[in-house]
Amino acid sequence: MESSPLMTAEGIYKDYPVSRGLLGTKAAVVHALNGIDLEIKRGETLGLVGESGCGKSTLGRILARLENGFKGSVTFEGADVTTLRGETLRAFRRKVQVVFQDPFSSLNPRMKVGSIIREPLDVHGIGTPAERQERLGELMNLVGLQADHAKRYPHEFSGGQRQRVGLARALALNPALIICDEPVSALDVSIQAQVLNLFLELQEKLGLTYLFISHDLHVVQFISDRVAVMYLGKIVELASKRDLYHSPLSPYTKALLAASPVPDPEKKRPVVRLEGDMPDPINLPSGCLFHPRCPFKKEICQTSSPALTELEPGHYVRCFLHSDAVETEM
Amino acid sequence: MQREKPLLKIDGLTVTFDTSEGVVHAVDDVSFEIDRGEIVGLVGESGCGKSVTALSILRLLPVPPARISGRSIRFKDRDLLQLSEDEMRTLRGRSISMVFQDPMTSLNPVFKIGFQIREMIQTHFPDMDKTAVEERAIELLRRVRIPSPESRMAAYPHQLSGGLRQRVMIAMALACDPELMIADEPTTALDVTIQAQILELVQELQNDLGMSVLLITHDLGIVAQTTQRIVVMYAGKVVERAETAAIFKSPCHPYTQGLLRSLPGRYVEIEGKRTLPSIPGMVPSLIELPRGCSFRDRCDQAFERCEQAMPPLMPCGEADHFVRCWRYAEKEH
Ligand SMILES: Nc1ncnc2c1ncn2[C@@H]1O[C@H](COP(=O)(O)OP(=O)(O)OP(=O)(O)O)[C@@H](O)[C@H]1O
Ligand SMILES: Nc1ncnc2c1ncn2[C@@H]1O[C@H](COP(=O)(O)OP(=O)(O)OP(=O)(O)O)[C@@H](O)[C@H]1O
Ligand SMILES: [Mg+2]
Ligand SMILES: [Mg+2]
Repeated sequence: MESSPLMTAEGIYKDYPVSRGLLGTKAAVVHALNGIDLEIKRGETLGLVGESGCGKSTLGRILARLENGFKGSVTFEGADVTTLRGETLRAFRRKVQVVFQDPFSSLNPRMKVGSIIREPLDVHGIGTPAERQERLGELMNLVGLQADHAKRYPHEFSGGQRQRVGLARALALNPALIICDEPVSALDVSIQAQVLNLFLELQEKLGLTYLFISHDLHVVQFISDRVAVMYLGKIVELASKRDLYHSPLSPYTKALLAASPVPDPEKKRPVVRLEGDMPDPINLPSGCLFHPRCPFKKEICQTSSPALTELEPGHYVRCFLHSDAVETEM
Repeated sequence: MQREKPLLKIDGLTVTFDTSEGVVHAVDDVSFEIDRGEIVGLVGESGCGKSVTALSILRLLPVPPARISGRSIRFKDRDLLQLSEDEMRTLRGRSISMVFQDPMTSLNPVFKIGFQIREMIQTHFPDMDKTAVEERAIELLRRVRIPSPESRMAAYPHQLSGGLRQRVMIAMALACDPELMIADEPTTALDVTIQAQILELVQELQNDLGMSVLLITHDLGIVAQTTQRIVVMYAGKVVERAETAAIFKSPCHPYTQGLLRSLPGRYVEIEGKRTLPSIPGMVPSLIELPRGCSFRDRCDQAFERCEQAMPPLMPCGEADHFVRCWRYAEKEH
């Protein structure tokens, strides 16, 4: 039996205007998200990968209700998140936490790290001051920070240490869903390993759900149950981790997997490589958004956009190459 | 054969910070060299002093709370520790450039990125005319694979994704054909395809212009495929130093060995439970470093001597392979 999804996104579109030049030259528009449909199931880890600038962080912010002015709908536990107000919004803010991508600008520079981590507890008035202080100790220990770190300011920390501060803060309220935007990108492998193991442990203990955004395919492979691959603001493939890594269908996913660096100086960087123009959300191509770089493109790919189609149970792909069952999207 | 003089030679660099909690020993007696046209990787646990080392080379740490000492940091025939602030300023960005780990150190949030890149070029090439500057700026953005560079010139830093911002910084660091580029985690926000292209670009500049690079990264895949030599740091000290191939083939320091075991590609699944091998324990506080080797609490090979004194860097294995570990001491005498 399928359990109901914890969070659903339907038909999400998001544009950003970029001011251009001085004298009213035409404004360019960044088409950051171009029709995202996504379900996050209760208790799972959904990995989200894709090229830089493809819209991962934008999607994360929209799901966390940190961004307005988008098209489409987001529901959490069955309720439309844009309609949340007052107490229900507070509850949503408690249950859905974000670990931000940039550990440098996401921490308030004027607050000591201890207060930053404790702040959610203070704001939501959870426990007595003594209990909060104790919880602070627990949280810092959990992410591998030392007690003497609590009294320092963010600028006194290294990149990886700041990332762990953001993580501790997100864990403070025992959330249901954590949207993790590159949460381990600044960590060296041994601490990365500790933090990733911690993610799994907490998930098991507390039944957490994660949306895990990362460009590191090894990390995503380790942490995720299912993986979604994004390209220019669209999901191009979605499958169980096994299927995605062992039998990827989209040519884009295949290229991504082939480009991953191997920690072995004897092996040279793989030659498989994406040719053609860089994906440009300002000038979206016609047809399948990937076709300008696709080594296997057919005629139809240049004119029509393929729909995300379930080709095998649980394995969705947006590509005309595999089956006639893939329809053209309106 | 006489080895060419290194481009950069750091000798005994030591950096401390005064904090309300005590003195933080961030970097302790660090020495290494970078040859002309060489890419050296600097790796080590989060908080071990990589960024502080990099910032000290360019003298960008606020003094106080920082205190920098050391025998010398030689760049060509000058000691950077002795230069005046004016002399340092002409060097920065021109001869030695830096890609900062914190994007907001190099990008000013209130100016469009086009303006900032043009500024960078104009400062160092005051004679270049306006159109040439504009063209060079756009060309730089194109080189780091930013699509629609003309439109992106008009964006403010906050309007860029993490990876775009990182590429803008790389473009700025390359703006003046530096002799040495210090790149502090330059590709953490980049996906693998762009990362590969950027690293290729760096290698191209290394080959064509003889640029040297100090590449700070925690990604051992990148280190393996890009660098010629590696310096491993732990708790403020260099604990191992060798050619890249040697480090991967026969790592000597237990910490380096642990690092290589913790690669996310190498996880084990036991009865449906995933775990990644990691090095248990935590780095010691840099305020009160324990006596002896600072890694010994986490080391599975520690013995008596490790509690008594910090080992010096000593040769191990092949030529030019050095390690700070007592296990290699017997072999000496
Ligand atoms: N506030 C904004 N104003 C204008 N453009 C924006 C804004 N925020 C994001 N964008 C643009 O939207 C696109 C998607 O950005 P987003 O940050 O979601 O990408 P991403 O997938 O997270 O990339 P990365 O892996 O580099 O972090 C980018 O082209 C970015 O420049
Ligand atoms: N201004 C400061 N005041 C006090 N301590 C500091 C300051 N700046 C850095 N430190 C400390 O110095 C140590 C080295 O920091 P550094 O930024 O060099 O680490 P790093 O190796 O670059 O780590 P990461 O991989 O996480 O970026 C850290 O333990 C950090 O907490
Ligand atoms: Mg992002
Ligand atoms: Mg750093």
